[in-house]
Amino acid sequence: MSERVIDRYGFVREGEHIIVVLPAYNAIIPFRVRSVDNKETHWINYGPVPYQFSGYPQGVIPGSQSTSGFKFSDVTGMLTGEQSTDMFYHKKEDLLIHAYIDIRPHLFRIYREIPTGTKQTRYLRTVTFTTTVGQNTSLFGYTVGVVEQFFFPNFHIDWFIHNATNMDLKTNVMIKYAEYTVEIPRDPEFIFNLMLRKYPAYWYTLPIQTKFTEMDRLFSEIYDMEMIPFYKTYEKERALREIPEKIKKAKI
Amino acid sequence: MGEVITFYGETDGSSTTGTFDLNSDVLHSAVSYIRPDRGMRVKIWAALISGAACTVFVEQTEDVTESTPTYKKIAAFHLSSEGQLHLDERHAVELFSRDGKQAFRLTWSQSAAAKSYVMIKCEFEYSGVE
Repeated sequence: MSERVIDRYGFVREGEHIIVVLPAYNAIIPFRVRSVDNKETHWINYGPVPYQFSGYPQGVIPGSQSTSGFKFSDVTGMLTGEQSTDMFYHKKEDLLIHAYIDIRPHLFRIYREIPTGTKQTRYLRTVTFTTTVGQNTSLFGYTVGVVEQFFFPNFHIDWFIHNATNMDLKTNVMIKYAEYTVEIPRDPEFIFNLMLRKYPAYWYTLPIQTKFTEMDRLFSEIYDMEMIPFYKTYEKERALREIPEKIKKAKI
Repeated sequence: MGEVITFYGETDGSSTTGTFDLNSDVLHSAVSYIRPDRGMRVKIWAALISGAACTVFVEQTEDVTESTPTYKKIAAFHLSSEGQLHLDERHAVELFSRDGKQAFRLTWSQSAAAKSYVMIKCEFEYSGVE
């Protein structure tokens, strides 16, 4: 990725653009980063994983065990409501959180539900993963090491950790994040050109294969715009005609 | 670069042979063997043996789920007299878990039972997916 677009920490620079791809919708969301609110102060020293097995201290993942779904509860102790149990949850339309979540040691299989309750990762669009120890369906659909995740307004993400070793492992989570204040660019031709990669942008694919109501609400209630289809190269005329209608009421 | 974990253990001081209980700063409780996830490669990059004379064996089994797993010796570190032996391997001892049933452990052998201490530095890495 060009140094023009991202900085040395892996975050998008002010003024640059982000294209979020939504595979389940064959759509994209173009953002322009107006500001990085926590410039140069990107770390959350989270500590142990916020999950506790019976008979173990918090954050210990016993050997051959999987957690149930958990969220990153507020480590600051200052957030309230839904944010107290999920510190990445928010409803601010112009806020986009870009995070790299490092769960150590790097011996775990890490799964996500986006949003909570929806297993998005499917093999051949058919088989969904499980986190059950010893099941073949736990052998795919996971990440190891650092997980990059964008947090959008209005829905929760659940995390699962599977420890396939025999060791009862203590965990530590270090989070590197950026709070972007974002806006939707208004020039349809510019958006189309971003889509064609004629202009540099940071591309992020939200790993979703099935549609969900929270995403629909994100557009209808939070952004107040329609999704922008992933237009084909030769659909410029259609794009220039449709995009203004889709974004004309956008709040950001 | 994979995850590097340092394990340490000690002889019981009363037996001339035995299996080390291995502990680490990332372990909640000690283990008598290490069973990596399937597809994971483990490299033992360094070993430090100190205390009384002692031979430390690295033993590997193909199936730790058997009621009596069969271990074979694949490497040995020998401290010939009281003191310390620091091995920093350019060529690591490697172990590979093909199906999740492979495991390894450290055992000791001494001519006279006494306290010895072992520390090994292991790198864990899923292989073949870079």
